[in-house]
Amino acid sequence: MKLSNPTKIIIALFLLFCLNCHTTMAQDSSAIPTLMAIRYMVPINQVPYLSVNTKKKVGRKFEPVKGISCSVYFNDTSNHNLLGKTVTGVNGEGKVAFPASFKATWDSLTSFKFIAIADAPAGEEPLSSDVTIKKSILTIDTASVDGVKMVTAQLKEKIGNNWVAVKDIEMKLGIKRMLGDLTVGDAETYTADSSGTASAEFKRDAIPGDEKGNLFLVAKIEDNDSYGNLTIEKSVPWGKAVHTQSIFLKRALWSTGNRAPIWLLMIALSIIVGVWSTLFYLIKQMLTIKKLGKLFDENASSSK
Amino acid sequence: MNQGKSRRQFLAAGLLSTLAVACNSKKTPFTPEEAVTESGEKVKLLSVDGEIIEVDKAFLKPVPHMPSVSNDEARKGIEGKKFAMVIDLSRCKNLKKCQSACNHVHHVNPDQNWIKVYQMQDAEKTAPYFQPTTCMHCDEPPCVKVCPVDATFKRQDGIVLIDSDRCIGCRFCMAACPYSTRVFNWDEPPMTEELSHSDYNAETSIPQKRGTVGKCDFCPDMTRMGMLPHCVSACPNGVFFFGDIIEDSVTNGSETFRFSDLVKDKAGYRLMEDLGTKPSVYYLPPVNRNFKFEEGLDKEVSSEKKS
Amino acid sequence: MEKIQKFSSEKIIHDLLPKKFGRRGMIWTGSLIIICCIGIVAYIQQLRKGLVVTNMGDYVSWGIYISNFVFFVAISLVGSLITAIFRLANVPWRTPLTRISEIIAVSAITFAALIIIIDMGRPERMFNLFIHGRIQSPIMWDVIVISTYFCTSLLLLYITLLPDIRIMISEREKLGKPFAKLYRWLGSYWKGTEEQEKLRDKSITIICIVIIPVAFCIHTVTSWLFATTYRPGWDSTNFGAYFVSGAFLVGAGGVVVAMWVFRKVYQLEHYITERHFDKMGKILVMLALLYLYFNVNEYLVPAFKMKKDEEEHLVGLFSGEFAHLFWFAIIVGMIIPILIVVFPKGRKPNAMFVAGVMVVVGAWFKRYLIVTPTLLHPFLPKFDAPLKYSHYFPSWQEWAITAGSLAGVLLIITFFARVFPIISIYKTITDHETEQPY
Repeated sequence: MKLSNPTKIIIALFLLFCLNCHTTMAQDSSAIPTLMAIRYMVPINQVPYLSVNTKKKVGRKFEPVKGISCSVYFNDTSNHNLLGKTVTGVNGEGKVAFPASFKATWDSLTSFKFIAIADAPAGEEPLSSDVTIKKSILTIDTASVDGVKMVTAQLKEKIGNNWVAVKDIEMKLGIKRMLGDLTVGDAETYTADSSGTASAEFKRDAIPGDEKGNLFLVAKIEDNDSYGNLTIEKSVPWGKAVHTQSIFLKRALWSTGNRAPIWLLMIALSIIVGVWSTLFYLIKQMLTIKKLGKLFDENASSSK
Repeated sequence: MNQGKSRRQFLAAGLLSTLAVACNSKKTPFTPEEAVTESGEKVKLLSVDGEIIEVDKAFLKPVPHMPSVSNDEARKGIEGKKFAMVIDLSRCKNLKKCQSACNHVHHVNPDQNWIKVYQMQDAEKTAPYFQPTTCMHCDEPPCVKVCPVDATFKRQDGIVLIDSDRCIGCRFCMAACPYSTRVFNWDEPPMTEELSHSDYNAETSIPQKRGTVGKCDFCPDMTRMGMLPHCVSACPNGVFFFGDIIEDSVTNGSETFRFSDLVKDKAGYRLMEDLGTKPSVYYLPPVNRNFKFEEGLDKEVSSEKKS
Repeated sequence: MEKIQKFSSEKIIHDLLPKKFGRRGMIWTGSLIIICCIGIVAYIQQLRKGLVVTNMGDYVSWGIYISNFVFFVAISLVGSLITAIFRLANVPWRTPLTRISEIIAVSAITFAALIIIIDMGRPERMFNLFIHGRIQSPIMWDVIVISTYFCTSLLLLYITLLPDIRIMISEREKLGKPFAKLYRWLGSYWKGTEEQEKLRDKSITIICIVIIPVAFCIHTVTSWLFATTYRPGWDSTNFGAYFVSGAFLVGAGGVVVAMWVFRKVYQLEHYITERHFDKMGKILVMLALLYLYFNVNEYLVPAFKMKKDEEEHLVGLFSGEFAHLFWFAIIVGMIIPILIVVFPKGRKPNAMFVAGVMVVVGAWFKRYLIVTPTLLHPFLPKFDAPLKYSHYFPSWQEWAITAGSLAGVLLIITFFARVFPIISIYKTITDHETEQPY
């Protein structure tokens, strides 16, 4: 039997398709591994914590895995080094911070290895992840050089008993906004110079701040291999004072029913009142007619 | 995608820390709408320089617990905000990730879409382009004007929402909307076990109800948590920018622009300006495109074949 | 011109008193009830499954229900035309037409209101209109104005009915028992004294003055449901006048058809004479020309400019998908009736009946053309929506409900004619006694 070329191709494609189906199905049933990662975070309030993330590849993208309980240790997985336990939430994240009882340890060390160990999800190997972090502090400041507003930030790591500025480190310098930070200048990121200071010119003149014109400057280091994630912010009166006037209470055609425009209300009401008062007048007339009819009946019966 | 995700986690973290700071009352507290409900319980934690600090327990919760707002609250909106979207047509490759994310989150009926990605061509000789459309959240919303029962309403933050518990299903708003953005639940909308037990919330627009109108809601539930609408974070090409124009900034998750500069520099425009609807969605023209129009068509063909 | 006879009041009463249904009447009423029942079954199905049983979609979100609603509102306008305008203008031949037009008005407006409820996705939330009503919405205006018109025309019907009720009460032997209680309940107080007459006469005059603007309002506001949107084909300042003139035409056509039918069924040849048809014919021509004039305005002006958004819509009407319906509505609904009725021979009852039917049928399809084609041509392309949404043909449920509502209107008129005289006996007697009757 001889097959024409297109037929062959179709058959080949078909087989390939079947195979493909098979493999994807196999992938579904056997375990697509759950992935876990641990990250070190220092948020604005300077209370560091460890963030554990669990996710799984579903189709072509990752989806968070919730309900995985894991323990976070530092240095080793011995019980006295257990920082805490957490269960990942709907976004696949769990958090563990340093309890106050670890103060002595925290003060004595300059570098930490954090280890997250999780129970094995159904049909999978237990999960673990670790990260090694150098203890550091991020600071932000402002300066004025020849009347030009500058934003500066430094990352200092603990070496011995001293905090030493880190050179050549990349960071973001921005203005805090509701849904994401706006860079203070043109560049996306700034690198610390030889003295360990990253500085940027503030180029966002007349950017709206709060009612008094205050805004928050933010310095951020994100996913750094040695230092983790650090954020710090500072309030400065560099913004434009914003006084929002809500259009919400305006009387308009699109407002709620109780805020109809006065002219519309007047017109509508006068028409309704006009027409209905006439109708009620007519009903009253009908009642008068009715009364007259009854009167007529009474007269007729009394005259009998 | 991943970037978007980490961004979101980061935002959540930022939010929590904000709260923690507020509880600590060392620094200025932030605007009230960002406040997370406090658990009241405090825990003693170490700060980065080794001090012992009392922090609200909610700090360690994986997701900030946002109680769903009351109907009154949902109708008022977030004070001092005016949300807007900027859609950069030069970046759109017709991947429709925005659409699928939106449909998924809002349990939109199969086949119906809240976000539509049109293949546009303004004139015979002009270039074709892809135009994603959301609800325009107009400042003179024709749909709200005609609603007889306040079921669709405009909030102080500019968002136009629907109260499906009140909608009588007259569909006047659908006739009035020039952007064909509204869809009707002709049939029983798709329902999950979890959804069927929850009450309708105008901010999440779910669970949808049969015989009522649905549409893009700008995801105010996400905004309340400091997160971006689903279409914005789902787009791998960063087509959608979202933000508060009172703050004068919009972001797609990885890039943040000053709104006024962006629409000025790139000659932003709004759809059907001549109708006077004053949309809150701005478009950046499809110039210097990241993708050829034809690349987007491939996707269209393949998806057609599938169906 | 035929000879006009003067009749004694006994003969008039005998001729005009309501009669029992004959065999044909029974069949007619029975089939109307069956059609209504099918409509009710379809509606129950719609209530259970939702509007998904219709073939409406996100583009054609208003279908045959709404066009039928507009048709009912249009035809109900006739009550004010014949009674009020003719009375105020002191048209002497109006007597046999007033009651017919009033009952058409009342029954049509009743079903217009019902159809709106049928079209709603959540009819059980009707009360929201009263709790959360927004005066800014044209729907609210429509609700107010339609209920006002309903009350006004019902009042008008009732007031003009009073003397006839007195006659029917006095003729109780002839009429038998069935409705005696109803008559007494409705109008036993009417004695026809001079004072009562004076009050009644004054009331009718007032109501006739009030009902004209209210009637104009119902149809103008209904046109605004469309004209307050941006859509091509609806976005027109001409719309109010266009709708009102169309309503007068279909109303007059409806009255002509009803005149012919009642004349045939109740042998009223001496009361609804050929002269009445002749006069109504002239009015029909005038109204048809008026409506045609507004149609020319409505289509020629945008077609001359052919704005991009309008183009698709207009081409669809003139030579596209809807061309056959469009030209049917124009030619059969307006031009042929004009051609028939403009000649004296065409104003004979049978020819007039044909013209009237054409006008009414044409008008029904015209309403469909006003609603649907526009919705199929939105500003943005029809895209990313189910394919079936880009076309519209009503489902059987929609047809059944629509047919049921039309049958319902006819049923109300039929029952009314069974219970009350379809021509005012009292007025006819007065006409015959005092002046030259028509």
